[in-house]
Amino acid sequence: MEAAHTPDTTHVHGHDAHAHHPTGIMRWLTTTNHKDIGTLYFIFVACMFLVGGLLAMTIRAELFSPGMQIVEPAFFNELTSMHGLIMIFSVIMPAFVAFANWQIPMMIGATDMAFPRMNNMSFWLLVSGGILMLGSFFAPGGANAAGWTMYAPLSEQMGPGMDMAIFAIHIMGVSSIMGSINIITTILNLRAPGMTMMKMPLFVWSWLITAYLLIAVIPVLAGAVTMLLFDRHFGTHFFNAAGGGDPVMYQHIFWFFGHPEVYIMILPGFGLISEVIPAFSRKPLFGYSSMVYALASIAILSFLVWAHHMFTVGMPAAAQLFFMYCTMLIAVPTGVKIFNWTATMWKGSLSFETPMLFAIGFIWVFMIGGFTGLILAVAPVDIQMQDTYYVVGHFHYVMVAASLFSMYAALYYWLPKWTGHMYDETLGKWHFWLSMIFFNIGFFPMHFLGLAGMPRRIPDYALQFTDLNRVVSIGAWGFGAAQILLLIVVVKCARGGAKAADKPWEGAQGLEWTIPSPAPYHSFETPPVVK
Amino acid sequence: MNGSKDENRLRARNVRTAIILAFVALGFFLAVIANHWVNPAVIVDHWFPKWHW
Repeated sequence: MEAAHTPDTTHVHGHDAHAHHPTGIMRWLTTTNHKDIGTLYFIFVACMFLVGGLLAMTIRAELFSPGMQIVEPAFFNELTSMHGLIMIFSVIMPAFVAFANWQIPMMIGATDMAFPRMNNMSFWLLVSGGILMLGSFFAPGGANAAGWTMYAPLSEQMGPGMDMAIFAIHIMGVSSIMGSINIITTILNLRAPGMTMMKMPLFVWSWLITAYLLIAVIPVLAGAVTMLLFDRHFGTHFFNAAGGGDPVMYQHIFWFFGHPEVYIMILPGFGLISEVIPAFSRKPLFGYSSMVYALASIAILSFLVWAHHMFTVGMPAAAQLFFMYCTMLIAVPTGVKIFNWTATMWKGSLSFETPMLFAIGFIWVFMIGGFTGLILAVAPVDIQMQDTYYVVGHFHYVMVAASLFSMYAALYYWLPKWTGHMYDETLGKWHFWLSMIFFNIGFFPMHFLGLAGMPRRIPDYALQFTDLNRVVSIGAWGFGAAQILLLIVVVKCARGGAKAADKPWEGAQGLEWTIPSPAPYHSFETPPVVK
Repeated sequence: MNGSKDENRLRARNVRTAIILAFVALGFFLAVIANHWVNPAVIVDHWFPKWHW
């Protein structure tokens, strides 16, 4: 967006001087301020990322050698299932909400979110859900061990840990829907005068579309797990074949949620990258309107491809072809986005600070993840590779690297605005290179393991997979260890460092750069006018 | 609710938007539960029996 606006920052200073909010612990418990809530989300995400990461490290420790070494097979199933659930519902999704809370009001020139109290409630519900989910490890019989997908009928047979996971999903789902309603209402109703829809920053657009997706599909998941709960405790047989139910129906419903969910975890990342690349290319984003239409197309197509996750359950060839071609069609709007980011960089005055490194890294790893996705879309190929490590490699490229790298790019980009200090560029670059190298060491060989026939979700494997598994484990541990650098950078930056200018990146555009650094407690008490 | 007329109008608009979105979410939830009784696969099977959904 062009900086054609006349922001009024005088009110910002004036109000902040007498900001009347509680201090100490009560500030954080009762806060309705979008920036405070954004920070709380980040703290929650960091804690859960640590837990999910430790589960991953344990999984890789067990898989370092064939045979059983560290954990029992049943506990291994809990580890893989809970690693997925935690990383999806307690890390990636809330991390994007953290960015939304911090940035959306500032980017559209609003004082705060439309429903500040509901915003607070969304966050604390999420925490309750997270605690319930982690608590399920201590339930008799252990935590959910039926995969993050909780497929019936396996999930109908487990102990109370499964019920806790179901309730955790309900609570987190309510939190997510409330958050989405808040975000949509904020974007639709609280934009600064003159900021038309097609003048909104791409990150705001990406969140608007993501929030609509969440409203549509989180209730679908809630419905699926509610039926599961009824099957488990109230004598229904929705998914129990012995009672006339249909386990495959669970898969249909789950993936009707599950595939849009995949885009919920990447669309805001597209928005973040679309903010970072123009700033460090010192050029406006190439093809703004086509980016918006591509986001919308991806969101719409996400509802038409769910059964590509279940080609092996048996379905008519016509249905296989339909889902295969629809899946391939998604490559078109995705290609538009990759093309536009590249075209934005083309002949730009590029510089390679940490945010830009992560943004370019994002394009690279996302393309690998995208292409392997295209390969998996081909029904006969997928039938061979279903449930192998190829799939694990594919979705970790999209989710770990692409989603995470987009967030890292944005974190380094906005950290000066949030803290008022510049981060340590050297450490940031070390963080990027170590993450990039170890991620690829850890996850690229998974494709070869999958092609060679190694199944996923197993604690033991045949001897011929040993060498590559060792490489994968070393890469994964290295990647995990590299994230300690991020913690150091963020803590250092929050505690002090070189003073950040109001607009530390010369190519940055947007309303958030017109307010002081650090961003005052209340910004835009008087809405800026966007021309 | 002691805001100006404009502020109150904006609040009312926000609440209206939220209520509509909440009903959309509720609709999807109920549609999934109802899917057991109004299963699209059953409907497809009825009209296109040769497809064997």
